[in-house]
Amino acid sequence: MTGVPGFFRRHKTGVTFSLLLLACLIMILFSNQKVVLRPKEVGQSFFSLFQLALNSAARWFSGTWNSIGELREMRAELELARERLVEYERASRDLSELRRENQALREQLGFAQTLAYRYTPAQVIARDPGNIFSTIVLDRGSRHGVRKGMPVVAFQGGLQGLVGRVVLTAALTSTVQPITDPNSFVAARLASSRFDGLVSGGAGRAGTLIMSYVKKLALQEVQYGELVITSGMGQVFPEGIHIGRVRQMQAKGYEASLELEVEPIVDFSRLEYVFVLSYGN
Amino acid sequence: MDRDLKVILILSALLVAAVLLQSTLLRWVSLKGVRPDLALVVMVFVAVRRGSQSAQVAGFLSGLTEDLLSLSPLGFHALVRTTLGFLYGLTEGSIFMDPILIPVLLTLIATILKGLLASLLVVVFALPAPGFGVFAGPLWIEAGYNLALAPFVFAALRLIKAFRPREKERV
Repeated sequence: MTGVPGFFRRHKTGVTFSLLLLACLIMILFSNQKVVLRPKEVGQSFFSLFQLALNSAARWFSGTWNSIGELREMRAELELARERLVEYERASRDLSELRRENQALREQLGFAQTLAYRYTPAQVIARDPGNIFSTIVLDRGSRHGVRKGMPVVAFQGGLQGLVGRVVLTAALTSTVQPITDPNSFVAARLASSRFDGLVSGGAGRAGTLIMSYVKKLALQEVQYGELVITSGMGQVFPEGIHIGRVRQMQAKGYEASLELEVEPIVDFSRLEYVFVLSYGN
Repeated sequence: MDRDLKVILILSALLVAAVLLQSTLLRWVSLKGVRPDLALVVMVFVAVRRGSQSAQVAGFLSGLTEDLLSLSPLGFHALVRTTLGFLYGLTEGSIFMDPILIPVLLTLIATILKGLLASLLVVVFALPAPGFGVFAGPLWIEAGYNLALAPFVFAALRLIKAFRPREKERV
């Protein structure tokens, strides 16, 4: 066979390879400019069913296996919880008194009422299949009221730490962009020294955060281990959520601002349960 | 059914299953957040045994699945896996496969090539990802995992009839 059909038949592998490569490049170009969004949502909806099934099966097996040990632990925890309850009852009385006092002071200062957030509990069912990008998949989707842009937090070590932001929602699952992603930006503030900055994922070192645009003046006041919290500016994340602790400071002579390396409060490797925040009801 | 088509279908199903496993169950064995790339090990085996055509098409489909489950742009992993499937397929029939050394060597080279290709794409398309930073640590953890898995995965895949080489057992 001669001509074009003959050429295609003789070089079937090469032609297929070229076509696939071209398709990939076109997809990257469109996808990178955020034009293609729907295929990802449709695809995620489909594959999330398998992820949910696999995750449920694994949890069922591990749950059955661990239940005996957990029962013993729970009994001990129950005793502890009872003791704590007595303490909390006492603290609760003090708290209501403080709340009344705080309310009165706020009214005097003319502060607006703090917006109440609704916490939707969710479970981490999957992660990014590869090791280059970072994704967290939750078992709550648009059907459960989860919407794109909602902040996600987790409680670890007694602190409420920021996990990330919902970037994609399917019917039953949602995808979260963790704050450690280099493309994630959070308006932040140093808790004690009150300097503002912008926290993003450390592109060079996975799992770390970089707080940039901090005034050089802060060098005198910032302490190692100081807490970094959300500032609430930009209105994506609520104010006062813990982000991490200052681990390193870099002050380059030619730059007008400081760069701080921040260790996240949340240990992403053992993240299992999170809360998706939404305004009121 | 055409044997090549049968190989593509079985391999695609295996690779998609491997990608799903990576995102769910294999996260429990992750070290510093790094998981093994089971799909890569499977693809390397089939590419060397059955050639470029099957490996590149299945690589494309599994890469696309990975893209759908990841924050990567659509086509990113598809391009990496298609290219690796094509390149490894070129060695069809020219490598004698022993039980341990060759699987480990082939997987090591594939993991490094994957890291290079992915980093190159990150740089060229200015994607928000660590890029060549993966060579500072994560890639070597992944390589360690893949190397440990390779002999077992290769041994298991040898049992699948559809993945037998075109000519006898010489691959």
